[in-house]
Amino acid sequence: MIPEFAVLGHPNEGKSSVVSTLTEDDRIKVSRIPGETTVSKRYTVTIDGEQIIRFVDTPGFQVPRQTLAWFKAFDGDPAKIIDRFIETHKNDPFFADECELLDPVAKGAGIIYVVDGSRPVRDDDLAEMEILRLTGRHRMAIINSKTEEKDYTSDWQLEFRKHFNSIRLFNSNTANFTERIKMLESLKAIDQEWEPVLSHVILAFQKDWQKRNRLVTALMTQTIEKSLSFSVSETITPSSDQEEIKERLNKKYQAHIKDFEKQMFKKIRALFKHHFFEYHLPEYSILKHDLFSKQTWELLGLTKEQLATAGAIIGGTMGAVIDTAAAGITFGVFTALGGILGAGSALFGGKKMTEKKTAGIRLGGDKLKLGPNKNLQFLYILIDRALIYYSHIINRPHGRRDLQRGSEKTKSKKKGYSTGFTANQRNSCAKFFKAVTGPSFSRSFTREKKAMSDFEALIESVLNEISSQ
Amino acid sequence: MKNREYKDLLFWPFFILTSGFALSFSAGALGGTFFRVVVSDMAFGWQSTLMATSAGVHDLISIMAFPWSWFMPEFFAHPSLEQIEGSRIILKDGISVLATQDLISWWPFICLGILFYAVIPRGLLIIMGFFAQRRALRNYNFDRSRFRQLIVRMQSPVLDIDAGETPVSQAIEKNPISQMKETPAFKPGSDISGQKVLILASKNVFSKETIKKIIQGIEQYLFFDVKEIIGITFDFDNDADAISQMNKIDADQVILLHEVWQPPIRGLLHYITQIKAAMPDNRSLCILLTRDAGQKDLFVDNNDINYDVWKKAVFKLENSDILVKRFI
Repeated sequence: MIPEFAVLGHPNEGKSSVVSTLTEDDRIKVSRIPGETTVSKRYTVTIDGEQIIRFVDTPGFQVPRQTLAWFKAFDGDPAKIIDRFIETHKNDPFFADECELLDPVAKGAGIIYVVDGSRPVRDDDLAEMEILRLTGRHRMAIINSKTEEKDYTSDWQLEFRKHFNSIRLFNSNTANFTERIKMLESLKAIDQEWEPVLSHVILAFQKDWQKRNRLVTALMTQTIEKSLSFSVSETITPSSDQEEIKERLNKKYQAHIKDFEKQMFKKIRALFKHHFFEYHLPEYSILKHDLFSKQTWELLGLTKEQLATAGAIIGGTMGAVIDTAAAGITFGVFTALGGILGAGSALFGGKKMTEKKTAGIRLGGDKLKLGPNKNLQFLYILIDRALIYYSHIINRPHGRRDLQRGSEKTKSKKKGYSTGFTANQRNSCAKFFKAVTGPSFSRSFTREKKAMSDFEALIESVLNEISSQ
Repeated sequence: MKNREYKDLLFWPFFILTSGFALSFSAGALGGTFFRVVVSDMAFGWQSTLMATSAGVHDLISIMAFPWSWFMPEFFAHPSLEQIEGSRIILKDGISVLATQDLISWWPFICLGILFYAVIPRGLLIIMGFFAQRRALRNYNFDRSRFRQLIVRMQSPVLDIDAGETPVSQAIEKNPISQMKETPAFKPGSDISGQKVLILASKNVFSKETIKKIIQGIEQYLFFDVKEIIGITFDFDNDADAISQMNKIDADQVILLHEVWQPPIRGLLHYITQIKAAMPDNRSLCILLTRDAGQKDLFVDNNDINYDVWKKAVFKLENSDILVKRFI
């Protein structure tokens, strides 16, 4: 038999939200209107189809005082009190919710009693606690504060000490992976018999988390590799307007890179099982800014000098190369495109050079090529944006439905993670960058493989660090 | 770059497959020849339109038999000069004049020829193909991120959630709150102002100071004349005395104080209908909702979702003498 926990409580205390966060399932309906859950719903966590733990989301108590009166008046076998209650009232609409919520308890489920710590204790709550005590089942209480306006935690704790084996603060609106694991750890206190099984469950969750981090690592590396080595080109003729082509290529290039990033974000979101609710990034988030905007680069910690160097990326992404296909010669002249946001005279200098070099030799097979990006800073921008998105996603609990902008835990992250990289880490990045963007003929397979694996190890270690915070 | 990477991976399986086919074909030819030698009377001879001599043919087959002749007895490795001479077929003479011993001396050479020139080389090529494939796989970077995702997925268990529900109660009703139609908002007006009212309130929830504040509000803004405050516990049986007292006091309506955030659960609504039923018919019951009684500010906002929930729940009671109102 697998451990089963019934999540009970007064209506509108956040029971569904707690189950949703614990099981990482955002399909669970969470409503601000009390009484939305009318039937107990079982959510079973499975590993390769094998059931390992089950949480039951139950309707809220609707008639606690009347139920308590019946419980107090009951003079039969105390061990059968819930069965008798259900048997007596299962056809009575007045007690329908109580029958539903007590049924999993009757079948042996441990009790997790959820209250909203931002509201005071009332008589109905005391009645509910007394009912649960009279069931004689193992039980723990969770204080799930729905708002931060008021805090009655100490009042609740005082009452809980009289009725429960274990008490835990667990905010389903802010709980991250570490807090979920701690919550599962504390479930061991409900019943000692479940300890080994719960340890197995916790280990499975931890392994699954590591797996996700490995997948995110691979995904990020793949996307960054693709973005860095990406290029676009267009054939030019003597009658072509080179400036127009440059602008078009620039737009095309940026659109592709943004799309790579968007696809990566989508996959990260799916990996962390945020299926139904669109994640709105916080207003302050760097991700709110365009990948190619100057703000993005400034916020991620580039100095003015670095910005000037990276100007080609900000303004025009990077140099454009004229390839004379007919002659098979690459002029290799980097033209700084656009100058939309500008990086000073360097950009225009490059532009002049191109014009000078290409003057009079434009043949039918000339191609204007944009990419791959040769600016190392671009790698850091991509890394930072990916890590920031990851951080937002892992800190977004599944039970949260208010669509507020971001979580408190990521609020202070104005600068990118890469600004804190050590010299070794930066070295790994540089080698990876070289391996990805360097010409294929000059690449060494072994060096390339090592650079890739070192970079992946770096990303994975940063992900692990972020998720353990 | 991808072409370079995939070339080896794709070439060697194809090479092994074609070599395997060729090996099978050669082995089949060898087996077939040997089988025919065993079960049928086969004569092997040679002829040429050219002026080839037996010595020349002997030299040729001696060279051809080199791979095996060095370790095999000569009579088995290839026909001798005499046997070659004896197995020469001259068209106009036919084979009847040739000696059987000479005619059968060729088959070991033919079988060994198939073995050494077709079967063994193909076998060696397959072995080489396997080694080359292994080398290609070993040198191939499967750690690349685009493969890593697949490998990680394939090598790790899938953690999932199964959801299901089995109703226990035979009398489940739809949520009494959310299924109701919009109720017309209660408007405080002249029809009730100036009336004598008494207040029912839980003394565990509303302190004396809070009740005082509420009374001030009621008198100041609604022009009600508050006659009495009666403490209740929201348990009809426990509140028998309070209800009796309530009915003794002359009042036009009864105000029941309640916090708006507490959901109108079925038990509470039942209590409200019990209270109303215990009152004289000409009295109305007004549920006055406040914010958390422990707070300084008790006013309930018109957009408060809990207020809306209460309006709907009370509307569902279908009793026009039970009203719901927010403290303003």
